[in-house]
Amino acid sequence: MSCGFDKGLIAAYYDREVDGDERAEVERHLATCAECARDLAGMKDVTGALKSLGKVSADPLIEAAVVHEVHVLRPGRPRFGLPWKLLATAAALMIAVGTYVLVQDRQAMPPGENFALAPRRTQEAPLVSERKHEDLARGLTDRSEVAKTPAAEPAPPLARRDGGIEGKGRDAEAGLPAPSSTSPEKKSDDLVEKIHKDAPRDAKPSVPVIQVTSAEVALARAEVEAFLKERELATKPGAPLLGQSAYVKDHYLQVELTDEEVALLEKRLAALKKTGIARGTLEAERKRVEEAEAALDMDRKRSQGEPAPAEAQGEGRTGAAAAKAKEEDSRENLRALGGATAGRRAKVILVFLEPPAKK
Amino acid sequence: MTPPGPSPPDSALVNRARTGDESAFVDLLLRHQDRIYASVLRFCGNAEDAREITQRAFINAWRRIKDFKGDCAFTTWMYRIAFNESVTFRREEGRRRTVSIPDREDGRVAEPVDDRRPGERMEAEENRKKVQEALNRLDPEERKILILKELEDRSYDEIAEILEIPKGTVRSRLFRARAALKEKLAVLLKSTEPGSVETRPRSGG
Repeated sequence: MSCGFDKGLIAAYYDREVDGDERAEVERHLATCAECARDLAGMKDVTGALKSLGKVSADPLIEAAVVHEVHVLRPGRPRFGLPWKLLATAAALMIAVGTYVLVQDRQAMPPGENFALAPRRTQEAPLVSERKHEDLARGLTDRSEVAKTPAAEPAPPLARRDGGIEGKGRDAEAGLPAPSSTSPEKKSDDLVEKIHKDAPRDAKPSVPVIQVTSAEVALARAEVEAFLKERELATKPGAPLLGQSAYVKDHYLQVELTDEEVALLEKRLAALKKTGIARGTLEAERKRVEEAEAALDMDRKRSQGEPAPAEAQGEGRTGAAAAKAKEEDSRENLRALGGATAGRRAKVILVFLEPPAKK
Repeated sequence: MTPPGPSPPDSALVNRARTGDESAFVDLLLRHQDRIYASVLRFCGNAEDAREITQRAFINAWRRIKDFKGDCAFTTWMYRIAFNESVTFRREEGRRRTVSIPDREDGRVAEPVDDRRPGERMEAEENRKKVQEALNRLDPEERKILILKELEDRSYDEIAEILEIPKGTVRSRLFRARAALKEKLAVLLKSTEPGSVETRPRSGG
């Protein structure tokens, strides 16, 4: 049974969203209507119940995944320009990634904490990431140098041209010769060379990626962690988790290994049941994720009866383009692995994937 | 060293993010992830889904930041994306594959600090579960509006903007949503009156 009074007005009264006239009207009515008075009391109960849920803080993995996506997989640069432009920015980014992780390392991390669970930044200090960004812009400095440099100092323009993430194609472009009759591939090589030449000795040309495809991802990861522990490479429980792609749910680990260690680790992983190993580059990895996501998006759109967006269509690669990309990747790969030799430890990213689901 | 001056407003960060400034977007993430995550968590009712939905929402926001014309607050836009993701996520859930990495996928949720005795704490925890369960049983529109009003304390104007409904509808829907929650909660509380509960902790002595 209802008294016929506008119940919405009672809610508005309760939420203090009424003007003076409405307030008087509701109060007059409440004085005479037991039902509406009960409704009002009920609202207080509901508020009390919901307040008991308490406050929560965001899961730290959210930040890890989003930061990974924003800085590494899909930075805010022109995405589908000329091939040389794309490669140039990719090369710059690959270098920046190493620095990014390094900068993360620099943040005081209590023992037992891993990358993803790094100390929380508060809302009162929102500029932390900006500082991180400036460090990134500084580009290719080594660990000690990064640690020593006061954070707020503006990034020198030179360092930015050298391939800091700040470049985003725009700055990388500045260091490029004007397009001429030479082939685009040639140009990208020139630029990569240029970046390498200008970079301090310590810089790695790229971060190699080892793709671990396993039906049992957790097992493969445990194997890697055991390996790192045996070699006393892991000082923290669990190797640092670089991030997780939100869409395709792959996990990334970054470790520092010598070439020999890479080979040993690959051998051990390959010995696991139903586990495949492949080497690649960050660039290839980025492409793979883009394609996987585009496919997921298409699936989703199709299942919802929507036409595929222009962007997804643009991302779809023809066989020829994919083959070409693969060729470029393998060249990049050789260079990348070349940088990690001579018994020195270099950054390697491990990505753990599940085999593609059978349709 | 620069002194920690006033933080730039969202709109300034949005403008920078729109030009491809990654750090500006990360600042927006750090500033808003708690409230978006909390809303999503209450909407979908479990920590692991909430994490994934929140990730997707922010990643989508980053991808679409150029489409955001600034005709509403960033939070308004972010809530819309997050609620959309929440709704589509549930629809897709059945065919999703999952990777389980036990030590990292524990869906850590920072529950409020509680210094009550263990017995009381357990009771409070039970009650929280029931409240969430009652929320889960509401329809999505009712859940959204309750989250925005009761948990996020948004004004009717803001709610109208986020949900893209007239202000009059905010009033009536809020009334209905509260009444519905109260009813569901009453049913849940009744089904486990004290005495029928056999989950009391065994004391050591």
